[in-house]
Amino acid sequence: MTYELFYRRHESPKTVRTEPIVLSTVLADEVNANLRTRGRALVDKINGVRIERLEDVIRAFEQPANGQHVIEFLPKNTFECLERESADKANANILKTYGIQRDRRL
Amino acid sequence: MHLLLLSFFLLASTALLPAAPASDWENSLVYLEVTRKTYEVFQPWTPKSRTVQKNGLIIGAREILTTAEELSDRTLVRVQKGGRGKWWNAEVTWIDYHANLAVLTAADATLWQGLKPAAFTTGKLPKEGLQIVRWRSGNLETRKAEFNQFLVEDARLSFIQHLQLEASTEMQGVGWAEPLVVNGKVAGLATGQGGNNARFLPASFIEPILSARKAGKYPGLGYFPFTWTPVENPSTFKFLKLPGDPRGALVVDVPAAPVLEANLKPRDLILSVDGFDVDNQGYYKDPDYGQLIVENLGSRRKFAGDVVKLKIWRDGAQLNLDYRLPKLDYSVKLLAEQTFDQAPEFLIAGGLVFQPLNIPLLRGFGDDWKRRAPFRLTYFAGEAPSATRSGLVVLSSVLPDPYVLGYQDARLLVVDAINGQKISRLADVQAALQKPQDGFHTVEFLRGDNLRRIVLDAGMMDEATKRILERYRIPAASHVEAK
Repeated sequence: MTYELFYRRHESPKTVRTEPIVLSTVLADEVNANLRTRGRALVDKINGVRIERLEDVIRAFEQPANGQHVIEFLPKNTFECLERESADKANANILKTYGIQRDRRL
Repeated sequence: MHLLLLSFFLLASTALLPAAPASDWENSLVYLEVTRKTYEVFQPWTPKSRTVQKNGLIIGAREILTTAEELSDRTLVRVQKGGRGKWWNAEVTWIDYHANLAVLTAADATLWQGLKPAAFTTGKLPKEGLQIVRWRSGNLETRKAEFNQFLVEDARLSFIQHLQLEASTEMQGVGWAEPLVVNGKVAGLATGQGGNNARFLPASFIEPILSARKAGKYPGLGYFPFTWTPVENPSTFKFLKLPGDPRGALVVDVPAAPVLEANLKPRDLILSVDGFDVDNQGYYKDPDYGQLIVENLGSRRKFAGDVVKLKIWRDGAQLNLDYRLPKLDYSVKLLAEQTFDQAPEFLIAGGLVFQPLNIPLLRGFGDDWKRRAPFRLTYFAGEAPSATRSGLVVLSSVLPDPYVLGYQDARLLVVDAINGQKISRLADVQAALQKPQDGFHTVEFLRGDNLRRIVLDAGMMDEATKRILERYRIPAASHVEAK
């Protein structure tokens, strides 16, 4: 992550992302209990969309393939899958559990 | 003809020699003294000497087995039997740093009088009655050891992960090829210790290598170069369209080198290897050792060039893959893991000290070099060589002199090009310095947050180099290995 956030802009400016996005943490819930990546991971793609900034995350989550969200991470090509329907259903409850008023602020 | 007959006689007499009984280790265990050259990492023109003592095990006619550790760059190896007294000169006849094994011999026949070869354990390891044996102050020291576990971990001198045995003991300072013995046979050779837990190369790892070597059919160890990850998420299996119970290790990265005919791809699931089913944690049940990670199947009685039968899941279908194990090679990585048996390379040009960037150089930052060395340099350790860059060279330091005034604080910068020529090796530096441009040498560094380039008067460089070598009392301007 240090490389992506600091060195890439100097060494490979053409491939740098405007606003690198990290999966900072996972708010624990039954729907995400099986995720192995729990945070501190740089997001490469979501549902095949290259993530350059936070707006891309929203756009990408609107395009699931086969009812699943696929989140790919850098640098070693690991990825996680989430069932879209279950995730959508659980979202409101997760926000309530953790006392979060809105699921985004851009 | 006489020599041939003598060889046959020696082999035959070895075959007849009985294995060492429980009380006879003093005739099967010898004490070794190894003197070797070491070097100041950042002043590689300064050799030093280091002497270590370790143990050797008689394994056959005029053959002593020990670990390969501390045998590189050796200048003198001596053997002592009975724990004290006379020393015999010895030489290494075979060494495999990846396997951490070496075989020694000595020409003087008097050494071998009274010595008996030890035998290795076969089959399942008895968990009771384990002991560690070594020479200490002229006496044979024997201490109880308690079996903890078999595990697959990084080798001492290589990036391969292979089978190791862990046993706890009250004996301290273990790790110098002390044999772990049981029922008069050798169950392993010690490679290290952390607290009361000692690590051993198990007999089942050593013996097939020695047998293959004896038969002249040992090609070296093979390995799995790909990276895999455990999968716990049922959604991932659904995404991969794998029906049934969760199983298999998920391949996430396959390096471009080594090139293999039948290779894996990212997102392949490894379902079984040589008939052993692989679970979703990447483990298989070994009939001899219990649950082990799948890496072990790359060295379980297999060598480089051997085929392992993989059953994989790819793109929603099952496939069988004959996976030929590539040979372990330190140079397969961008930063060479080890540089044994060669003096460290360097090149001094007008006070600029160039060195290859490799792991031995980074180890110069101490045992915790991964945290202490500059981040950008350690990050290269995870990168693969490319078609345009087979290695890296750093400007490790600048020896102050009027010629390089202003650049004296530059250090640990990765060289991109010199006089317009891309640099992968020190030989490239030598060649590029033969071709100054418009009377100047231009050294360009990889783009980063530091100095971008150094420009020096080419006409003054040779004179400056000569002056600097004299002032700093450096015996030569370079040591570059022919490749």
